[in-house]
Amino acid sequence: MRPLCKTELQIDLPVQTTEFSLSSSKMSGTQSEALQGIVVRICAGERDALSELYQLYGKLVYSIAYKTLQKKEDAEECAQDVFLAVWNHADNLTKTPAKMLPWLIRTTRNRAIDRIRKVERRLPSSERIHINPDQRPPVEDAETRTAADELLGAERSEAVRNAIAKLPEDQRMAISLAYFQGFSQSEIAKSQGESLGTIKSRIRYAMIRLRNELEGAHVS
Amino acid sequence: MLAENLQDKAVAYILGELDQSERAAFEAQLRDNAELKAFVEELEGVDSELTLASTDLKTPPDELEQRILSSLPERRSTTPQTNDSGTPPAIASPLLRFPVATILGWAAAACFCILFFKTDSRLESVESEAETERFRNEALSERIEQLQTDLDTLAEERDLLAQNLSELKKKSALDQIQIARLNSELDSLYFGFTVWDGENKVGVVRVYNLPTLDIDLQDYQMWVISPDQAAPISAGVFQVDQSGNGEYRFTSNAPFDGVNAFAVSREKKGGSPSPQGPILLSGSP
Repeated sequence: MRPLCKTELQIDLPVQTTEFSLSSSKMSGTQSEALQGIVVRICAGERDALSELYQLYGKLVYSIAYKTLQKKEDAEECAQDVFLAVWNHADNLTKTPAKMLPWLIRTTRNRAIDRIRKVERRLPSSERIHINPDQRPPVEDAETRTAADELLGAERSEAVRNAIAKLPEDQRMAISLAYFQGFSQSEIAKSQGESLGTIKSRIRYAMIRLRNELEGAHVS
Repeated sequence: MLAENLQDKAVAYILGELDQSERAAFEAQLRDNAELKAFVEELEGVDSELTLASTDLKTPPDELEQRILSSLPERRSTTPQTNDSGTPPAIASPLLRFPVATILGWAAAACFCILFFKTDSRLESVESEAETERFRNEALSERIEQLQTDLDTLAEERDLLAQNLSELKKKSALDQIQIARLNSELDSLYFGFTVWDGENKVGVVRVYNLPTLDIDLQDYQMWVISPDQAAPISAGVFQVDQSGNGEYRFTSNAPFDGVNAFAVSREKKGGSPSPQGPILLSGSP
């Protein structure tokens, strides 16, 4: 059973103040410098710097890993792999600190999926909820805030939800199944009775549309 | 504009749907294709926000951080380290007294200078060759133009010559035609015409008002008198109708070129090797 998406819930909680409110390319100059400083220190072999990075992104990495792997031990190992990769390849990130977040997300997802492929334990799509992508089963010990709420801030998080809601129905469904249900494009095609090419086009158009929508939201 | 299949591949890469080898191949493509790289970077931004929006936060166990830090290998520093005073440390080896970086810097500068001057002189040489080639091209173009003009002139002359030749041929042909009026010393009513093609050795004679002959006993005979032959050359026999008129086409295989006169005589049936009977008609072309 997969966790419910709680983005629509309005719950009053003390807002966690985070030092970084990051949207991947919209980092402020100060934030960018601070992150670059952390990466440079990692390159110098400072373990404290990696600890600081873990404080910023550890929960996110673990959550993304858990979302895919659905098992604590696997998610922990995956998170460990990701931060080891940061330690070993920090040199590549020194010039572009704004790419740290997308890099972490992509690396975590890839490591998690590679792990699944390796052990062939991926949940069959028949066990997932197909009809309403917003109705996912609750996750154990889940927090009430999404990663977007924590890292992007409430306003940006709202903008993302609104942008998704504005998509045409078929594109919204494809995006929701891909991101909120974790379906692969092939699995979406099968569940929707569409060709793989159609689903690829829908997701591609949806992402381009969301990019344009979110660019406008950022400017306004 | 990126091809759609490349865009789809970029989306698959972002969504984590490529296996390790496909990812490595795609990342190699990214390094060489700036447009593709820009496209991926744009979508990565969207992907990050979608991932964040769709990920419920889950607190990892407290010991995870320590476990991660404990598992880190010793990392060789890739940034310059300084001593307390902030100055770079001196190089320990007593053998290398000169600053290596300075020597390398000067060596690199020298190499660049040499390369620059060599390239510069080579550039001058190439420019000079290019200029020479331009002149040659211009000269060749002029020559081609001149030749074309000459060609046009020669074509006109050829056409003119052809025309002249045609006219000459006609004239020559006409020159070979000889026409003679044939008159009679016996009776002024007798007359005729001969047209002779000297080139082809064919002719035609028309006679008028000649006496009709007993066709079983007599014939009129045509004669060609040539300066090349001592005796008249027979051109065959013919008859006239009741009016005394007749037309006869004749030819001759005898070897002669010029014709002085034509004559028609009355002969026995079948003709004679030489004129025996009276000459009724004669004339010169």
